[in-house]
Amino acid sequence: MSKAPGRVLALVSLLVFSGVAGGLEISPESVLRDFLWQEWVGLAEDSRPRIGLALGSGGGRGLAHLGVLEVLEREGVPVDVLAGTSIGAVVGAFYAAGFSLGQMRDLASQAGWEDATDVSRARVLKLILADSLLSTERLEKLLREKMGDLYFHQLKVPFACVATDIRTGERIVFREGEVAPAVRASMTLPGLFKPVQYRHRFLVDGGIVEGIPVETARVLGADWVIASYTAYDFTRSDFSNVLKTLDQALNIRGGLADVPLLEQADFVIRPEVGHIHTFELWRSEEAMEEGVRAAHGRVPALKDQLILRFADRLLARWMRLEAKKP
Amino acid sequence: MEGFRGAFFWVSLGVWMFCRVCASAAEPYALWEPIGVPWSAQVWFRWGEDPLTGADQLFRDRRYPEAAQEASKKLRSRLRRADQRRAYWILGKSYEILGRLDQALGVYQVAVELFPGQAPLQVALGGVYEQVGLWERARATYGRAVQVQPYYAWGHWGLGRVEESFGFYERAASSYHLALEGELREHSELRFRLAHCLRKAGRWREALSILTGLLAQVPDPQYFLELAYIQKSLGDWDQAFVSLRKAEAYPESPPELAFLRLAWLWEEGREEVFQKELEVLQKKFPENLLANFFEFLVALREGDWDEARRQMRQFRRKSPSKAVAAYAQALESALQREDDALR
Repeated sequence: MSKAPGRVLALVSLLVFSGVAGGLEISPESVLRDFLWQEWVGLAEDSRPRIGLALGSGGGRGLAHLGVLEVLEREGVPVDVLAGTSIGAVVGAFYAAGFSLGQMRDLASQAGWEDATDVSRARVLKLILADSLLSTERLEKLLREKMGDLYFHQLKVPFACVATDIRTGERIVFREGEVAPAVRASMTLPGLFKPVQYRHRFLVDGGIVEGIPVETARVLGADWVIASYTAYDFTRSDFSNVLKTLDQALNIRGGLADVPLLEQADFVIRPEVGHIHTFELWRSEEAMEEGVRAAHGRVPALKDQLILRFADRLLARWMRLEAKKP
Repeated sequence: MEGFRGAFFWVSLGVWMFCRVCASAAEPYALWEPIGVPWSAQVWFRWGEDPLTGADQLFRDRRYPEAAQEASKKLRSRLRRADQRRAYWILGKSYEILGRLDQALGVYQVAVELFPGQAPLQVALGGVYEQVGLWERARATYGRAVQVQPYYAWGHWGLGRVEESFGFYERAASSYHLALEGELREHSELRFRLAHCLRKAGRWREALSILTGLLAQVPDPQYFLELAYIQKSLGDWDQAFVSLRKAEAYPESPPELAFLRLAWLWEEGREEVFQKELEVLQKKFPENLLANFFEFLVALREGDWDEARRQMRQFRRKSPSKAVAAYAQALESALQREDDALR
């Protein structure tokens, strides 16, 4: 008598969670997609299109890129080249250096602004009163400590990061030389941190010129670019004082500048992290979760797009034309 | 006499207070626990008739509209707290089964506000949130359920489902494990979902162990299919094919299973076996679009482009969904471009 409520709940659960095809989780679509995907992944190295991943800026929000990478890795989506701006450069550099996602998650959970910069209340006061900018030297030290004195050519995945020359407004793409100072330059927020002097240039955050490094990924040789975009939802902000109004204006400008860059990408993954502010590095778990959720939801569409876009390469494989190529 | 009355009064008061204390302690085991309950825990401390007998009987008889009406009527009368909870549960569940999810939602939301410490009500609310697609709220609600009652298996199961839908396979597996440690120890669907999440998380050996144990007790085509995927992931193709065959053997199994096996034969490069199986499946399922698709592949491989085009046209004509039609379109276009390039 007392088991009836339990059975009802079990019945409702089964009804809600049963799959297609008479209860089995299989359909012509799933069989085809799995087969075509396996064939696609099995394409020879020189026939398979190179997939680029462009990791956008966003400070604390950008830790969502870790979730995106986790899902791409789990689903077997190859990432042949990486490009990063600002926090995207930090995440991309660690990934390209061969760090596991577990290691990167641990680092993200432990590290804060004080590990990457010399920020403190006194220094912020000095910044406001005496125009004395903070420094991102600690970020460079942290990068060297964790990954050593790596050069770009030593990375396991081709990687580039973007900075801005604050004097000329030029986009500076780092593809060679030492990784640590390049990433530091990409992540140096203007107005808060001292520009990084590199030869004759004064470099700051690449987000000013290329918030989402889609073009940079193509320069590295990507045939197809996935953009991981962590936009701030500026409609949530208030503008109750001068600083907040300026911040809001910059966020709006940045959002508008990102639109044409997103259009250049072949596929966009957009984690729902608009509620996390740039400086909220302590919300790393939340950001990473949102990255996983967003990427997980987009994986079937991503696979479909790749299959459809490069159907001719599948055809060539089936026709064994690869063997006939010179 | 006076002394007797006084003593009787104090003894009665003492017994009443003792029963109230015991009834409060018994509340966690009250009736609405989905996997049921010692109703006896309630009956033990009740004097008089159970006011919800009618509603309860209507519910068990699957007369849900009447059960809802009766429970709703009772809620308007004076009920003990324990009976109120039961009434809300019967009312909410009746609405849920009748598909009146908005009403079920309203009932559970009120119940949860009135009785925040009751995990079964939280789980019932979470279930409705899931059904209407409010996944974040479902997660929060299941989270509260396991907070108020950490060993409540149904709460862990709900949480696991939500985590799985979000793609957090490791977390879902942990939740399912916790659910299996509780009252749902032998629940086959739950064990299956655990194995599925472990496979998705790359923990193939653990998934294999759980699924093998499950299949020994409850053979099911879905479970054999999952086993086949696990064995394939482990590189054990022979066993994977055996498992697929077992899944196909069930009368209710769809033809897609056989074509999945065909796809795996192609993937593994067993060309001769693939060819023979394709002939068998063509005769068995001549109208199936997947037969046309694989014929298209064979025609391409043999260089018979006219046949390939013919098969792809038939495939496209039978496409049951936009996605499949898109594949057909893309392959046809690619074939046309190849043809034009060669000319």
